[in-house]
Amino acid sequence: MKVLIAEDEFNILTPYKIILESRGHQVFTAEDGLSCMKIYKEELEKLPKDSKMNPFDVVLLDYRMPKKDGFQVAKEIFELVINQRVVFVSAYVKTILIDSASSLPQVVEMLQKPFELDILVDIVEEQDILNQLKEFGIGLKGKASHFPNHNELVKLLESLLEMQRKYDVSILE
Amino acid sequence: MAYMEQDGRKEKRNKMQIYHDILDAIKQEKINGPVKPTRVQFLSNMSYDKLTVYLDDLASKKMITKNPLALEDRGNQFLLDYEIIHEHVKKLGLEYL
Repeated sequence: MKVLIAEDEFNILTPYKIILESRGHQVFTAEDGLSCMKIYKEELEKLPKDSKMNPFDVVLLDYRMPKKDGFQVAKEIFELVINQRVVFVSAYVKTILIDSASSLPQVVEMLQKPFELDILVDIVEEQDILNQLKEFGIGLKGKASHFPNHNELVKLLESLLEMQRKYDVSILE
Repeated sequence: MAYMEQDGRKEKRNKMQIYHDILDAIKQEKINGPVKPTRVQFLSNMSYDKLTVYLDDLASKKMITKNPLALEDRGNQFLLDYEIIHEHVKKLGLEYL
C-alpha cells in the first residue's frame, strides 16, 4: 500500500513509518500540513489525467499540526480527490467528529491516540473489513502482498450484505 | 460451476456458496432435460441428506420449484447477483478461502 503520514512529532512519526515499512508498505512522511499537501499534490500529478487511482491508498493525518492543521489538509485533499481514504490519528477524536461531520464532504476514519502500533497496522490494512469478508469465505491472496482499494472493498462487502438481506440467507451453514 | 481451490480440493463453503452451487447445478442439468436430484447432488458435491434440507430451504425462499426440480426467477437472479460478486472478487485480486 502507498501511505502518506502527516505527524509533527518525529518520535511518533518514526515508529509509524518503521512498522508500516516492515509490512511492505511504501510510506511517505510529512511533519506539517503544508508539506503533506505538497507531497500529496506531487504524487497526484504523477498519475495519468484519466486515472481512476488515488495518489495514496490511505492518508494518516495528525489533527494538530503546524502551518496547516489536519482538518484543513483533509478538506483540501477532498477538493482534489473526493474518494481519498483519510484516517485522523489524534487524541482529539471528539473535536474531529464535530468538525468533520459538519464540514467535510467525505467520511473519515479516526484512530484515537494513544494506541498500540498493531492497531495502526490493522486500520491501514483494513482488518475489520477483511474479517467481515472472511465470514463470506473471501480473503486476500497469499501473504498480504496485494491490498485492494478501500472503496472497492467496502463496495464488495456492501454487495455481499445486500445479497444476504435480499435472499434471506445467513452466512454460516 | 463450483468455485474451487486451485488444487481442486473443496474448502468448507458458507451457506451462500452452497446455495450458489446447488442452483448452478440445477441450471446446468436443466440444459439436458429433467433435473435429477442425484445429478445435482454430484455436481454440488453434497450428501443427499443435506441436499434435501437445502432444496426445502431454497423452495421456501421461492428460488426453486421441487416438482419438477427447476429454477424460479428468483433463483436465476441469485445466480446473476452471485456472478457479479464473483467478478468483483476476481477483479480485486481476492480469493475464496
